Amino acid sequence: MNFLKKHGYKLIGSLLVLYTLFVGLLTPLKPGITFLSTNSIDQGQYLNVMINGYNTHFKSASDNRAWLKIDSVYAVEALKLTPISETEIMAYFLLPNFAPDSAKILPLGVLMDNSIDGHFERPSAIFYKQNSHYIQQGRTLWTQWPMNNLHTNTSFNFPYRNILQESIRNTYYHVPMWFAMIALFFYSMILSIRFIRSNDEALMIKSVALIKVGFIFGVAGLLTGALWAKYTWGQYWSFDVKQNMSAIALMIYGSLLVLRNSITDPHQANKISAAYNIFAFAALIPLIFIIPRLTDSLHPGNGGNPAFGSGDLENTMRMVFYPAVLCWILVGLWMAEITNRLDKISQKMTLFLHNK
Amino acid sequence: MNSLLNQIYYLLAKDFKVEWRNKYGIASLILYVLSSIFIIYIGLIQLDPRIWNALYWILMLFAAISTIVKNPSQESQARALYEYTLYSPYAVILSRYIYHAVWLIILGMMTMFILSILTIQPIRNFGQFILLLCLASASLSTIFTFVGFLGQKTNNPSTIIAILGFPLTIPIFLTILKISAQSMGMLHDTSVINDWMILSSIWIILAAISIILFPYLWRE
Repeated sequence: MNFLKKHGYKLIGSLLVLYTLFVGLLTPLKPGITFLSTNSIDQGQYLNVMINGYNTHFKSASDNRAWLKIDSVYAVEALKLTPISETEIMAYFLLPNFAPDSAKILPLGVLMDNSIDGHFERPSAIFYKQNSHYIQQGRTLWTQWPMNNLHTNTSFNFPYRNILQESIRNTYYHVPMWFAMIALFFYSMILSIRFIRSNDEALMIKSVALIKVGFIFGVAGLLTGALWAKYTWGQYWSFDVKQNMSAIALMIYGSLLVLRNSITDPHQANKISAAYNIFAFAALIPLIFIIPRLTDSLHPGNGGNPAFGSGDLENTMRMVFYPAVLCWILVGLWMAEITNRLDKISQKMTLFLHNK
Repeated sequence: MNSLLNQIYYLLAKDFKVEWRNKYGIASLILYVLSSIFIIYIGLIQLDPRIWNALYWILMLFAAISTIVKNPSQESQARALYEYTLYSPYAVILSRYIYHAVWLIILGMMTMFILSILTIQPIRNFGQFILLLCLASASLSTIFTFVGFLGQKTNNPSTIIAILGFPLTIPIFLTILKISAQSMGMLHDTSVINDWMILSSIWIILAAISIILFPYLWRE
C-alpha cells in the first residue's frame, strides 16, 4: 500500500504512455476523400469525375452512392458509379441547369456512402458556376435526390481531416507537451514562492529540477510542432506568432538556468533564481496565452481559429487525448524527481570534495 | 521621513542631485545618443519610416541597458546599507523605477528630435507617440531595474542583465513597434486599443510582481 502511494503515479504515468503510444499510433483513420480529378463545373453539364478515397472499400462494397451537395437539403446524386479499385471510383453526374441560389459560384461538397465505410464527405470539393439563375426551378431540381438511408460507421476510428490526414495523431504528442510544460513550470513557481517564505534550500533544488524538465518538454513541444507545421503549413518554421512566443518563453527559462550557473554562492543563487522564476512565470502567461490570441496566427486556438471545439476533437480522440495529457504530466514529475535527486547528490559531492 | 511618498521624493531628489553634480553620467548618455545617431546617419542617409521605427526602438533598448548598467555600479555597498536602515524597500524600488523611467523618457525625446532633424520625421500622431514613449520607458525601466538588481549579485552583471532582460522585453517590443508604426501612419489598425491593453497589462503584472519580490531580494 505504501509502495503504491509512493510510486503509483509512475506506474499510472508509464502505463498511460504505453496506452497513448499504442492506441494513438495504431488506430486507423475513418474513410475520407483525398482528391477529385475536376474542381469546377458549369451549370447543366455532365461531369465525369474520379474520386480518390483514403481507407475506403469502394470495390468490396456493392452499394456505393455519391452526391454533390450544397447543404443538407439541396444535392444531386451520381447517375452512375464505377469502382476501379478500393480507393478509386469514377462518378458520373448531371448538373442541373439552375441552382437554388443566385450566387455565380457555389462550392459543392462530395458526400459518399456505402455499407462498409459509412458516409463521409469532403466540403467545397467542386465549384459550380452559373451565368444565369432561376432560384425557384433550382429548388425543385436539387431536391429530387434526397440524401437518406445513410450508413454510419461505428468502428473505433480517428476522424479524417483534409490537410491533417494521418498527422492528426500528433494531437496526442504535441499538445500534451505544452500542458506538461505549463504544469511543471507552475509547480516550480509554487515551490519558489514556498522557498521565499521558508528559506528551505531543498525546495529550490526541486524547483530548478522542475524547470529543467519543463524546458525539455517545451523543446519537445516546439519540435513536434515544427514537424506538424511542415506537413500542414508547408514549413518547419513559418515565424508564426505562436512559434515565436513559445521560443521566447523558452529563452526566458533558459536564461534562468544560465543565471544560476553564474552565481557562485549557492544560497544567493537560490534566492535570485526563485525571484526570477516567479517573474518569468508572470511573463510566460501573456506570451503563450494572451498575445497569440490577439494577433493573426495559423495555429488553432489563435487569431480566430478554432481549437478543442466539438468539430476538432471527436469522442474517439478524447479517449486518447486526456490520458495523454495526464501521462506526460506524471512522467514529467517523475523525471523531475530523478533530476532533483541527482542535483542533491551532486551538491553533496561538491561540498564533500570542497571540505576534503 | 515617514510616508512612502516622502521617502520616494527624498530618494529621487538625492539621485538627481548626484547625477547633476558628477556630470559624466549625463554626458556619457548624451554622447551615446549622439554618436549612435551619427553612425546611423552616415550609414543610411536616406531612411524610410519602417527603418526609422526599428532603429529608434533599438536605440531605446540599448539606452535602457546602458542607463541601468551605469546605475548599480555607482552604488557602493556602504550606501546601500545606509539606505536600508533609513528607507522602506518599496520606496527604494519605486524611486528607482521612476528615476530610470524619467531618464529613458528624456533620452527618448532627445533621440527622437535629433534623429528627426538629421534624417526624416515620420511621426504623424505626436500625442500617441509621446504616450507610447512614456509607457515604453516605464515598462523597460521596470524590467531592467529588476533584472539589474538580480544581476548586481552575479560575477558578471552587464552580461547577465542582457541575458535576463532581452527575452523579457521581446513581447513589449512587439506591441511597441506595432503602436509606433500606427502612429507613423504606416499601419491602419482599428484594434490598436488591444495593443495598448497588452502593453499596459504586461507592465502592470511585471511591476506588481517585482515590487512584491523586491523587499526579499534587497535584504542582504
